Order: sequence, then structure tokens, then C-alpha cells
Amino acid sequence: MKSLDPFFIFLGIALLFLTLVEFLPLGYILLISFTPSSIFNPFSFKNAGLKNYIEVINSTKFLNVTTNSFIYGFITAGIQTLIGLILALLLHGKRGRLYSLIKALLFTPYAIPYITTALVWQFMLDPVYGTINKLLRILAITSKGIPFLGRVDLAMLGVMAATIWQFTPFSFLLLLAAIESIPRQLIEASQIDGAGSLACTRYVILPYIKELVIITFFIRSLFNYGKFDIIWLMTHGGPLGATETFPITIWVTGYQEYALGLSAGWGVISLLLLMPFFVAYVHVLSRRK
Amino acid sequence: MISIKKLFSSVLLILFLLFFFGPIILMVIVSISPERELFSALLIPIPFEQTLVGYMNVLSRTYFLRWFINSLIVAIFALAISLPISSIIAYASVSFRKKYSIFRLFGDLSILLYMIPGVILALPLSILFSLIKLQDTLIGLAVADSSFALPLCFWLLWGYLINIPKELEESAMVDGASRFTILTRIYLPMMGEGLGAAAMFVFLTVWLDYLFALAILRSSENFVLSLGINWLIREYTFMWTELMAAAFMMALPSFIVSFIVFKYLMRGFELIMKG
Repeated sequence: MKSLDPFFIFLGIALLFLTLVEFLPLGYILLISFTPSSIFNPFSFKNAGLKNYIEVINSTKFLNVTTNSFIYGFITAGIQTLIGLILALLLHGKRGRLYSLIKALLFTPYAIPYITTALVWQFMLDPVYGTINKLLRILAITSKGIPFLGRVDLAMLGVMAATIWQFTPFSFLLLLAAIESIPRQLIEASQIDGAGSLACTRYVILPYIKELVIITFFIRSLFNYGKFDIIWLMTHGGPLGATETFPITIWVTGYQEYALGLSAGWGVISLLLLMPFFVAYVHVLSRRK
Repeated sequence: MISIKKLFSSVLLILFLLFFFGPIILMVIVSISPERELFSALLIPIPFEQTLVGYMNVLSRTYFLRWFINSLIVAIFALAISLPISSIIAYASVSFRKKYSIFRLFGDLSILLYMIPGVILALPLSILFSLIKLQDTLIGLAVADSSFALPLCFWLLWGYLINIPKELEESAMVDGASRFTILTRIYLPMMGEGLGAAAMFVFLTVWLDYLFALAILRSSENFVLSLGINWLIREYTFMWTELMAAAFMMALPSFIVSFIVFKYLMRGFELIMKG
């Protein structure tokens, strides 16, 4: 009689926890998006069909929110990946205490709490006290302070700058690891053939990590697209919806307007819009194997 | 002779360092500068008279210490939940990936779970929690944070484990060891660095978070630092010295942790890249 390996009991518990904490909420959101529920009766599963979805698509802010979400998600990710790549190219293969320090310092923003990030960037962008405005005044570009986060045309830039600051280190780390895992022989072989380091970069390193760069870009895009904290803490999605992305709308609809079903509708639609990118991501991944 | 290329690289590096680390230094400077210096400074306040008033006000006149302890408690709970669970599932996925192909899927798609917007999970979780009396509790927040941290931990550990040769496990099983023993006696010690990196990510997820704290916690006794400092903003109406002092004190633990663990993180990522 073989006794049950205790491992499987733990595995069962672990999988149960995972289901409760990830798949159950997702399933609930899917279900509730078809009901007119509010926060006060979250378990009334009256079927309202596609009413919530129609309301979302017809709402005046749908186009604005979608545009903002993709701009915020993908352009920020593009810049993050680019800067991360440049940094990784600058710093790969460099050893020694100085370079270790530099790398660790460059990583810092990733470990800063979002509220701290929001505060620091709000300070820098402040029209009166802000460092950026003081710089602009010194350079005589402007005489009065520019309230970046208060202007409909500039708020998105401010929020994007803070997000780039916070998350580029992650791309940097990933791409640095990618470059350093290139087999030494490849690099040495190209050097024997007389390639200088610039040529080495173009013809050896970049092609080798091409897919990883794309993967990094995807990971960051999808992550930024759904990020709530930084935008909320800096602008609450304003002014006048200039920085409102899907997470902001989902939150406001659910928590402040108490329309649970509608909020779930926004959530599902935001995920559906990402579908083509999910698929592309999986495709790139499978090509690697 | 310094080549142009080297000069260019160095300048670029310095600019990036300024961009990424400069704001941190700015934060510290602001936190010790008196208000009039902040107003009249040309570009960066130069605190000829430094003042620790900001720090003293935050520590003595607000509930900062309580919030700090709450954040710490949530972090410890989250670590205690996430690490064992992600280790077990990662080990199972790696071990069984030949037998049940669904486990192969786990590895690649786990990063997708991580990218589901937190807001989508936060609402149903808080509803679920109010049913089982976990709403507005620190352990409830830890569970919610785990939902966010688990996929990333799993991805890290999976990448780590997949590089360990199968023969190790096979020979142990031939010797009659149960899977449980294999996991705890053989794999866990080897996963040391991977677990360190995973632990750091869990800690960061908890310490940096604002969304889940906002969704789960209600009463001010349970506030964690992110909620507390946000409340401070409304109370003090933007007295920058105090706010920066609080923000810096909150950033210090995560900053120190990341500094220490950075090396392990790099090695962890390198191993994942090879796999």
C-alpha cells in the first residue's frame, strides 16, 4: 500500500489557493459583466445580456480612454525598452566595484514605492517649487511656471515620465542579463574576425537578443497598460480625463459610482482589446523554443 | 588619448545616472530644506540650514510608525504565503512537464497572469474578502498582494528550476525518496538564490503597492504606509519638506533591500535567459 506522498497534499492546497485568488476573481468579473449589479448586491446574477458592454462602447469617454491606455501602455514601454537596451549595451561585460555600484544605482527607481514616485515627480513638475520649471525659467524658456499635471495637453507627458523613470530598470535588468548570457565564443569569434565593438554590437549582439527585446517590450506594454497606481496618485485620471486609462475608469466605475457590472464590462473590454497583443506575445515566445 | 566613443559613452551614462538617481537625491535634499529655501531656490535648494523638522513632525505628530509596522506585517505574511506556494507549483510544473503538457504551458503563460491589471482583481477580491471577514485586515491585504506576486515568483522559480538537470531528481527517486523530501532536502537548498530573488519581488510588490491597500483596507488603524502618506498629503496640504521626509523614510527599506539583493537578481535573470 503506497502511502500518499505528502507533496501532493501541499500541491493541492497550493493550486486551490491559486484558483481562489486568481481564477475565481477573474471568473466573477466575467460573470458579473453580464449583470446590472452594483456593489450593494454583488451576488444578484440577473442577466442583462450585453447591456453593460453596449454602454461602455457608446460612452463618450470610450475613445479617449482607449487612446490614452494604448499611448500610456505602449509608447512608455517602447521608451523603457529603448533606454533599457542602451543601458545594457553600455554596461554589459563591465566588471568591478564601480560598475556594480552604477548598475545598482540605476536599478533604484524600481524599488521606490509608487506614492513616493508620485510625490517626487509632482514636486519636480510643480509650477512654483518644481525643479523642472525652475530649469525652464533659468533657460528663459518660460517666465511663469507650467503646471504640467494641470494641463490637458501636458499631463500625460508628466505621467509617462514618472512611469518611464519607475520601470525602465526592469527592462535594463532583463536585457543586461540577456546580453551577458550570449555565449562567449560568439563574441570572441567576431573579435578574431576583426570586428570592432560597435560592429560587434550590430551584427552579433542585437540579432541574438532581438526576440528578447520584443518580449521585454511586450511584458512592459501589457504591464503599463493595466497600471493604476502611478496615474491615480499623480492626477486621478485628470485633468478632464486627459490621463484616464482603463484601470482608472474601472476603478471609478466600480468603487466610486458603485456600478459593479459596468466596471466589469470595462475590465473585460480592456482585456479583449489586448487580445491581439497577447497572441503576438505567445507567438514570439513559441518561436524562441 | 580618450577615444570619442568612450567619452560619448561616459557622458551618456552620467546623464542616465542623473535621471534615474537624481530624483532620489533631490528628495533627500528637499526633506531637509526649510520651506522658504524651497521657494526661493534657483534650481535645487541648497540647505545651508538643514532642518530635521520635517522628519520630527512626521514621526511624532502622525501615525507613521504604526503604518510602518503594518506595512512590515503585511510583507511578512505575504512572504509566508507566496514563497511556499510558488515553490510548490514551480517544482510540480518543472517535474511533471513531460508527463502532463499543461504544466509546460504554466511556465510561459504565468507572466501573462502577472500582466492582468490589478484593478480587475482588486474589486472581486475585496467583495470576496468581505464575505469571509478578511476585508479590512492586514492578512487579507497580504493574500491580495500574493495574488499579484505569485505569478512573478512562479516565473522566476520556474526559470531557476528548469536549469537543474533531471538526473538529480531521478536518482533521488530511485533511492526511494518521496517527492516531498526531494523538494525540501534537495531542490530548496539549491534554489537559494532564486528564492532570494523571488522574496525580493514579493517584498517589493507589498511595499510599493497602493491599489490593493486602497481596495482592502478601511479603518485608519490598519493603514499601511502608502495609504498613510496619501492621507498626510490631504492633511498637510503640500508642505513639501514633511512630505518628502515621509516619502523618503518609506522608500528606505525597499531601496536598501533592492541594493543588497541586486546581485542575486542579476544572476537569477541570467539563468532564466539561458532557459
